[in-house]
Amino acid sequence: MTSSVAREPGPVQFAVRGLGKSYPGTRALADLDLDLVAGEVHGIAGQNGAGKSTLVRIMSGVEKPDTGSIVIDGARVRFDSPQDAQRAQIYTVHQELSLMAPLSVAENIFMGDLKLRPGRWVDWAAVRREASEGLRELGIDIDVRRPVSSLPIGHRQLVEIAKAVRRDARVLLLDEPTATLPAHEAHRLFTLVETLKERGIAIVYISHHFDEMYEICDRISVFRDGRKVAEHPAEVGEHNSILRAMLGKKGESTLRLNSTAGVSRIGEGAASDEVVLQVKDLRSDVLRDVSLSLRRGEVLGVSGLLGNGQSELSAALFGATEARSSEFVVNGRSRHPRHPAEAIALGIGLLPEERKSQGLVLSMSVTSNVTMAALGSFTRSGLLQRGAERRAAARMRTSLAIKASSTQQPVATLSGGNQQKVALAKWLVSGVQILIFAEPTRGVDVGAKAEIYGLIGEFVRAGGSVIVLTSEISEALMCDRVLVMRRGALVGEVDRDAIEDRGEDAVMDLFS
Amino acid sequence: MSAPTSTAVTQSEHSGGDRRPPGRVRTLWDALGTKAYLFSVGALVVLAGWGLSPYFLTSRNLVAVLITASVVSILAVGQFMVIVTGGIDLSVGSVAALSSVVSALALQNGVPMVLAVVIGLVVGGVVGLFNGILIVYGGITPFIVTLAMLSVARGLAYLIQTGRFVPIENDSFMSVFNGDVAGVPSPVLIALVVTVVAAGALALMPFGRRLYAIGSNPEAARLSGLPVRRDVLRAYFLSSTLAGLGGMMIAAQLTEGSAIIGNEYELNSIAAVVVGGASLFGGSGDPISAVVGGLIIAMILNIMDLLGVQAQTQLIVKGAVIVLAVLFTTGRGREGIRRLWTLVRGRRTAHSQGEPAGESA
Repeated sequence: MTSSVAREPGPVQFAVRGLGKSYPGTRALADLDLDLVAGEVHGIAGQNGAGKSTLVRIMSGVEKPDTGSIVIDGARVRFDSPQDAQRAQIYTVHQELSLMAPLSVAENIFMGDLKLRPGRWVDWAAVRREASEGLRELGIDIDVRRPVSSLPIGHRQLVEIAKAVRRDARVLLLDEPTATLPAHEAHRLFTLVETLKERGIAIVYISHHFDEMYEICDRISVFRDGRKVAEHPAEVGEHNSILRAMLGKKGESTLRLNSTAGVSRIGEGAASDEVVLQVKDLRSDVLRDVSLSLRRGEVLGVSGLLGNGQSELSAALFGATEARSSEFVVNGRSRHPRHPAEAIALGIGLLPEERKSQGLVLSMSVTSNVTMAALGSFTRSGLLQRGAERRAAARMRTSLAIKASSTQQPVATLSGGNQQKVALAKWLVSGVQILIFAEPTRGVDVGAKAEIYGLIGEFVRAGGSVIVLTSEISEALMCDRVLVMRRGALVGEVDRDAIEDRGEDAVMDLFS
Repeated sequence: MSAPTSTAVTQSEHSGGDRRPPGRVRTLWDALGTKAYLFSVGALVVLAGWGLSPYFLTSRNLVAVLITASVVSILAVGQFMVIVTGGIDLSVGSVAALSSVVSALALQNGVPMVLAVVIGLVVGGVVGLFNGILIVYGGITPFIVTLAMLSVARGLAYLIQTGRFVPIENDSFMSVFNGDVAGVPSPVLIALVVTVVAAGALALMPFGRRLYAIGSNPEAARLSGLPVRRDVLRAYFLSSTLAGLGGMMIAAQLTEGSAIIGNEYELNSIAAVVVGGASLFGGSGDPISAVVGGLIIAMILNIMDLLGVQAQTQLIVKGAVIVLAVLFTTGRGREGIRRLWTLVRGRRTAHSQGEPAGESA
């Protein structure tokens, strides 16, 4: 790559010109231009598959573009590896962080160029001192001797950013930084982003959350189908134009969209009086005497700040983790499921929070995933009925509008929203009547969100019941009833009337 | 500035969805692709053998190769069922020895042939259950458990055989495991049946589907209600039982049960599976490819035998074959060859037509 001779602080130091990238069958990026300015936060919005992650991969040197180039200080550069990108002072903080968990914070920050004393011994004192100075300058207070594995996810992200800053990052790419972050930790991240702006770092901020983009971005570029279709100042007043650009034609009918995709209720009014699930005093390492009941056709929300026991509750109800209860009645049958197979036999299905690592077998086809929880019903005299499997998968593909070129396509190649639909299809095929749906729309674009809410609605109208575990208030407000969790216990129940009266305050008041 | 581009985009979206038939052809070709590759390597080896030695393609030699490969093939089928779950079974060679000694002792003590065979299989199965229980319920990694069992099973075989070996004089035992049926040697027939049944089971039975799912993503398999523990246990049980069968086949060929047989068979079976294109991380491959992988190794060793290559050199070649095979089936080598090929082809078409054929039109 060409190194910059005189670094003049012109307005555009870093630009992307005419970037194009195709994969077999799809064009991921086409003729993309993007200008980054030092000290500015440039937001990128777009549905899944719009080309955001392809841009990140190219800018971080993981992949090479088919056409176009990256321009730094007026010179075209070419990245053959992530090291090249880092040499050009472009750093990327991926959703999956790249820290070495067993090593200390200081070691991670200095990874690859530890301070040495004569004789090639590591100067640990200097490493620790400089690491903690670096963190302090950024307003981060973490003991640098602690192993990264002992830090909460939010802190790890800060360490990753500090590592980039220490190496004089000029451009920082943040790829959905808040996706895995508890709500209260997001604010610390935003504060840090402000500090980085003041230091003159150009930041690319990719997110599905508009509220945070309006809070911290200066400009927002909108991607659709591999192209940049619009660029707007990051202001709430621009929201409708941005959404319209992002959604294309469909945007017309959903202009009122907020972060809940314009849906105000999920499966409204389908709830009957019949109780299908009654649990008393559910207890585990994390759960403290959780009692709840679910009625047929009901959408029951369970909310709370992240890490307050919601995922443990979903696992416990599904028999996926060790738990005890004094009463566990499903459809009139009194039985505490001790493992998932038993829960499924009782008619309970779980869509776990970690869709990719827990909900799906990514390398297997849509068909194999869809029939996985019901293999028995596709077996005649010991043999799998592959024709029947394919027909069931094709039916699901049509009725859930799963965008896949064929039912034999590996699930790994589908977008987040379509993967979620496959995960849902698995339970619809298995015939369970109670669905536990953890963070149903996380990592899913706005368009697919509305579809997923619609599908949950259909499920309850057909006599099913759903428990939605969510850390997004707006999503919780769409349920028939909301239970709030704090430190492993249920701390309150909010019914529909209270939601209508007081809106999100009714739920938020119970959070902390 | 935001609205006008939308029509062009929706059009391209539609044309993208209509490309189904070529897509299907492509996946079919891809599915055949890995196996076609393996079979063409096998064909190449046969060609090389034919060119290098006049004896290679004689039916007598080929039958000898098949008989030699039959035991490793059976072990490889079992090994595959473990490897597809993401595990490994290092104990199969020792289990073969143990089961050969036990069945030979049973025959020596006047136990009827059929019962002796059943005992040999049960011994294998029990060892497999032991492996499985330690792995599934003891939470010890498969490598360690089966490494320990490699030692324990062979030690047991030495302990109970007392003498240097246990001679077998039972004719029906010989004819079952070392005779022939309508001209086909029974070891080859047994290996064929085992391979076909296993391939069918893995492709067509729920158990097979579950093994692939478990190997690909054990957590998702568990949360889909699959009996992960039971299936893993079954895989080790089957692998060990098949090792027991292999042990009795060797015993029949040598007319003795012995604690020294089956040495390094665990490694040979792993080599066969890996040359057959399966990943040691699980979730991929199939038993037929594993057997073909084993056959390729057996043929190469046979060709070197025919050429009078010394045993030490053969070991080195065998090692090289394993690495090369894996480089080309799962490693970067295949990608490299493909890139080289498209480069050559691209240049040629560029010369004749002025433009290389694109991936997507």
